[in-house]
Amino acid sequence: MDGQLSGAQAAMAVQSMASTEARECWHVYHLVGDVLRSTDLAACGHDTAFVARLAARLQHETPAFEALPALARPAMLDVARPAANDGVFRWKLVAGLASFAAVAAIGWGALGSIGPQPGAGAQLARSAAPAVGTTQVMALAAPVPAASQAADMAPVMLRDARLDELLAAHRQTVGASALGNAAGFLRNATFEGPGR
Amino acid sequence: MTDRSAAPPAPTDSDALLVERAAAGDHRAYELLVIKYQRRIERLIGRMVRDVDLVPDIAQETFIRAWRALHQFRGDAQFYTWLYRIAVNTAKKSLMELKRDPVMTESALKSVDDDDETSRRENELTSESTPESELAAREIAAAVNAAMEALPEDLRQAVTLREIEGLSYEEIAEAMNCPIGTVRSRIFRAREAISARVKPLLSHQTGKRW
Repeated sequence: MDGQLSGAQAAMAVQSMASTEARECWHVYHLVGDVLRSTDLAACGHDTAFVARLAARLQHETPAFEALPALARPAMLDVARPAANDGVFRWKLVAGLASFAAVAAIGWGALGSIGPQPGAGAQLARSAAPAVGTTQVMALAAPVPAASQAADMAPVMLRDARLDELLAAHRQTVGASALGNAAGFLRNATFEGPGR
Repeated sequence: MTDRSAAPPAPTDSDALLVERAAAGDHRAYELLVIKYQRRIERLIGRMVRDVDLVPDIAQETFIRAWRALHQFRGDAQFYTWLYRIAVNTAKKSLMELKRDPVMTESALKSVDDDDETSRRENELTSESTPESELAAREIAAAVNAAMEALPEDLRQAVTLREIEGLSYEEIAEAMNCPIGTVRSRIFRAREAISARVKPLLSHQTGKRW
């Protein structure tokens, strides 16, 4: 009863508890221990009818895992298995490496986004080619193509006269903020020309 | 008769084995756990519901629920701690169900939210206590204390270190400077001597105790 037995000895001890004398001894020993710790536990009764009634009910009960195969049974009382948050060095090592990798990935991404990106200019150059029948107006926020870079050191806003008229007409009807406010995020707008 | 409820709880080394066997479907192992903890569970429930008629039923339900949920017990906490929470929840649930019952007694709901095992005054007489049970409890406590006083010093010291202080056998052997086999022998003899005084009292109590 004090956890001094293990394995086969403990199994035999539990088996021997089938006898009334052994169960009475088990009860009295624990009663003595309880009373030594707290005298008011002597007032709490223990009767055979309670255990017999419980045993009868237990006959109709089945623990949920009993039907499971042995391998699927949870590793109960496996307290020796280290948890992920234990103070074990290898867990700390893994956590440290993972943190370092995360920081390195973020730093690499941040460094890659800083400074000129030649690929972006080339992409704008390709997309800036005028289509047949359309007039494309671009608000250039990125570096201009290399061919015109020497002549246009400062950002240049290319406007179409008809678009200006259209914008002016809208400004009269809905106010100056109709497209003026949108110019901050407007990067590309297409005007359908008369060729269509 | 001094209350030593502030002392460390009883060692529960044996619980792990019994719980493991019970979880494997061993009813007998589980019954041993029931016998071991029935008093504490009934005292806890009695302090919550304060109705002697409700206590055994709620205790039964507690142990049934614990049996059903044994596969969820992972051994992180002591078995009694786990069982304690089940008992508290079962008592609260029972009281909530009874609250919807118009024949529910007022006393049973008196302390539904009071789940502190130490909250009741020590000698408070509740509906759980009857004059007979109070007398029997005092006789048992007196017998245990008298038996302890009559023990030889080495036996008394060994059983005190084990039951009240909660030391392991190895720690007792070190404290008493004797082999562990001697510790086992002393504790066994002390328990036998105390039990010999207690058993007659139990057999006289309405014939339903062990």
